[in-house]
Amino acid sequence: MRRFGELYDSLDAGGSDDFKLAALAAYFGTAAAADAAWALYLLSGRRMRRIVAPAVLLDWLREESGLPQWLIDESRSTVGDVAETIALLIEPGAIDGAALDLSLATWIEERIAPLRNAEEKEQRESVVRWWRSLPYRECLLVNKLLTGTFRLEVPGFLLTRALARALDVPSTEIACRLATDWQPSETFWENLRGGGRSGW
Amino acid sequence: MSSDSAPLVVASGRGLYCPPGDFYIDPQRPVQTAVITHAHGDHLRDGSARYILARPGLRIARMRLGRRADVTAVEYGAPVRIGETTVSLHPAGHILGSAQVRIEHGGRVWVVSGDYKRQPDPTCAPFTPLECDVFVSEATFALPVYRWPETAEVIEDIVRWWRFNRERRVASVLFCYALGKAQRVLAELASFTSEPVHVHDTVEALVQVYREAGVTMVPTLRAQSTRTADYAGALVVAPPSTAGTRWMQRFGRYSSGFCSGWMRLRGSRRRQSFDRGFVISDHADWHALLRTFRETGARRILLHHGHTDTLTRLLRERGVDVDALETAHGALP
Ligand SMILES: [Zn+2]
Ligand SMILES: [Zn+2]
Repeated sequence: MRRFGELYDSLDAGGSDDFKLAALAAYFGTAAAADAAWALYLLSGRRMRRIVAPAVLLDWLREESGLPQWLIDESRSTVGDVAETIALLIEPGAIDGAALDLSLATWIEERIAPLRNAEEKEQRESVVRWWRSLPYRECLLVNKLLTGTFRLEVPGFLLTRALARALDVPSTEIACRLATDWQPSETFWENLRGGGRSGW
Repeated sequence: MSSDSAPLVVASGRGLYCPPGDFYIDPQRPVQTAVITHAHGDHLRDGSARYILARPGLRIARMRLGRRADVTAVEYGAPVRIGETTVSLHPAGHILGSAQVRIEHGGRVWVVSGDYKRQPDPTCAPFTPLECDVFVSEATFALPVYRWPETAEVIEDIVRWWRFNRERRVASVLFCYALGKAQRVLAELASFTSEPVHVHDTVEALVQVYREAGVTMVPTLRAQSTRTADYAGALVVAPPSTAGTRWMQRFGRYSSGFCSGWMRLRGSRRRQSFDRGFVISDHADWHALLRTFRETGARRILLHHGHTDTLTRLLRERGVDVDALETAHGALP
């Protein structure tokens, strides 16, 4: 999650395309297949389904933090985003380095997605534990994934150029492959990577 | 108005005024006697007849006021008689020479914080909480979403960004306020590297003052060359006012970063045209403000210089006697 967090910091600012392109290419050139596939899925504007509603997270925050409702409301209107507001307001505890180092794919597939069918009590226990053991940036990302509100659309031309550079596959083929209906998986990524050589 | 209830500090059109001492604190316009908390442009303005400030800030103040201004430099903690009051200056931890103003009169003590922070800073003496009856505090970042990360984590982040740009032979230009922030970052970098950092002339002039005050920083080089090749992979520290100017052309293709407390909110990062925002502030965050109020033991808090409404409401709910003290203070660094 940390590596995806670093990429997120490089993309979520009003900086230059040149820098964003370099950050994307560096990430896609070195990330494990499953992580790269998920990152591409999220950055190309595809949405994950909501596991917990933002309003529910805000209720948990109020009960955990003891902050008055008006102060949470005011913070939220200043920040403009529920996931970020929670990450800023929650009192951080000891950082769980192992959880931080778990890959993006493991976080999504083995931690976040299984909460969909859990009881609210179990959801809350897990989520509050993550809030307190992750640093601000990763806490923010987990909240965005939980609420299905991850929105950081990178312009298509930047994504295809970064992928072309990282995978050494012509960008026309990348664009063609991304235009299909695809699911984030290792297989998808391996196919994308092998695109040039398979002549497809 | 009886003398035991009359305020020791009031807001006036020229800034904060102390009636029994007949002096102003950080006046906005020329006055007879000006007590100065620190040398940032919105606090130290020229034209006053007489200035009183803390000795570690003297050289910086002289750079702005010139040699002819009447300036009295006093040691931290040393009492000075001004009018009917006894005034002393105490470290505020904001920048080199920054001070809180302690005013004693008729058995009562008021403290005016000036700009201050509670995080460690290798470039200046740390803030000391002073017991007082009334604490007049800045409130620049008075919202609970402002919680500063550990400085070392942010500096590590800056170093990683620099290394990343170096690998692609691009300069990293880090925008920092020329007075205070730039020297703090250069001092913090010394724990990570001894490589030289290129700096803008305005930054370098102040770096020299800090070095003479005994502050250890990484080696600095004046960014005078106009050959792009000289900056490939280098780290450059420049004031935000140079962003987008012709001066930047020498760096060719470069990556930009901005060090500021305002970078805490992602919306602010998106609205600015920097590649990276780094959360480093020389002001107290929300949590440091609340902690400081407790530590002063003040029975009354007055807020000025910033976002006061939210903090006022919260403190009132908690039974604290608090009010906003309106001044004509402008935007700040
Ligand atoms: Zn200042
Ligand atoms: Zn200020």
